[in-house]
Amino acid sequence: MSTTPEASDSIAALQRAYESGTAEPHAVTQTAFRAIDAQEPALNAWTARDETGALAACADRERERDLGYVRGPLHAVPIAIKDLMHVRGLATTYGSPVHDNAPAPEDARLVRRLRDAGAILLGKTNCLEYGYGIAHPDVGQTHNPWNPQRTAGGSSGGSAAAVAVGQAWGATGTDSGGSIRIPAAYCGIVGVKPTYGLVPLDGVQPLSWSLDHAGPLARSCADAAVLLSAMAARSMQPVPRKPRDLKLAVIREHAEDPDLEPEVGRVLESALDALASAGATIVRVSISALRHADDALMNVIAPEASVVHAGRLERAPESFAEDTRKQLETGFAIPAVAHVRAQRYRRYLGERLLAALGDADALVGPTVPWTAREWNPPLDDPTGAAEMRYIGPYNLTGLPALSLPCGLAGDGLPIGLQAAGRPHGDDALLSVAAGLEGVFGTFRPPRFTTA
Amino acid sequence: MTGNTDGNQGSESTSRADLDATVVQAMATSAGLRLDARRAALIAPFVSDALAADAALAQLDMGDSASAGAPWGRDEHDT
Repeated sequence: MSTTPEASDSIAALQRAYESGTAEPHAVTQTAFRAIDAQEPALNAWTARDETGALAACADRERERDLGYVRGPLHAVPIAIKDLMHVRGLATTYGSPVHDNAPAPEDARLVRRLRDAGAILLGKTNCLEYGYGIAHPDVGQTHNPWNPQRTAGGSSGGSAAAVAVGQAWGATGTDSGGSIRIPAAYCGIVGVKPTYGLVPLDGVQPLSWSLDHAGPLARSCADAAVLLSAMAARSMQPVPRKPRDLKLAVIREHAEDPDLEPEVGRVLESALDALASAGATIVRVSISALRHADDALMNVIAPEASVVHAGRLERAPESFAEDTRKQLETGFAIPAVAHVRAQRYRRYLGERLLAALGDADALVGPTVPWTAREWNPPLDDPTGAAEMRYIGPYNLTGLPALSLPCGLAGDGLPIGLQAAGRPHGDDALLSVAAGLEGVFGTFRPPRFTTA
Repeated sequence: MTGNTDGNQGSESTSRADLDATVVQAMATSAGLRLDARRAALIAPFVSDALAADAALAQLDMGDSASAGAPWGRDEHDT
């Protein structure tokens, strides 16, 4: 194996290994594919692998480095792309067994930015059907690297598992109701939903236009910042904040939610205690308007998703998984007035969240009420709504939010802490999260093997 | 700021009217989706929930919040 354990652990360490000559892109990428081979199809994280294309790109990056040209921190870094995004030359399958097998003629813009930044695209990762909460039974869900009997979460589960298990140094995801942050929490990695509009979505399959976001999944905040910088075409160089300089506002409606499993609550409070011991100021805030967030999210996402998929639902409704089909049909029966009222609530809630944030550095709480379960619940049942309860408010309001691992539950599964910041304060939020990460440490699944 | 002491973050106590499948069928049809009675009956509970949630939201005084614009509210919050 040509890579060192250190090179497998962070993008910066991989770059150092490249610079020192202890690793080279071709061997690193081949090793990544062998790691994928060893864990597929058990993990079910990948829908397509492009070893030929990836190794050709490695040759280009090696030649560039030989000429003294390094594109940046993503030069020759192997990454994965969620299969809701077009990658030139590969079919986009959307987590559906029924799709056009024609290769995409162009990259999605965010994919092109990653490619131009030097990243090596290993292939496409599995996701829930059209990102709408359900794994199509003919495709299957991605399994959790910490416990294969559990889900990796969704909808960006393939991306999260591939990163957590060390097959890729980072991955892309989309997030309309938690689809980056839920799998990040379940798999023990960092997932960032940036400010609404920061990352372009052309070439990305929509689910709900006014809620859709794209962002990175990575093994650290620093790696996430490198990926997000390229995706957003905006330089982000977060410097970890000192815990003693941080003021964090814990949302009581989330941290004290009756649906929060006691073990998750215990680990969250331990994490907050650790931050307080390190000098952070922890305050508790209450936002009563959050009581409407579950319902408002559904009254936005359901009609928008139904319009997105109207044509196929009319032509071939049986091609959708039954639960996806029911969600799409439901959206057609929601009146326009309900959608507009929910849209109005979003701005009302945004004002309340920002008022609660006040002079604190971030709003914090649990990411999900529980650790990974066996299956992903449908969005329109109470369990599905509860799974999105803490994360949905930031899809509604567009505020940047991320999940980072803060500890392990008694069953050995990771638990995510969510932090959210001000609009366009993505860099500042990553600086806060990097400070928290320094207290919590990083987490690797037992099956993790160096790529 | 008032606290939400009951911890219930689902819809408020607005009573839910269970919609008949034929009503749901008509609502979907009016929005452009042909739905048979069996499919309408399957989704009727979810549509009823959505309308109950909307009724609860209608009780919330949202002041001068608009239905369009930056999703976080007023632009002066931008960093």
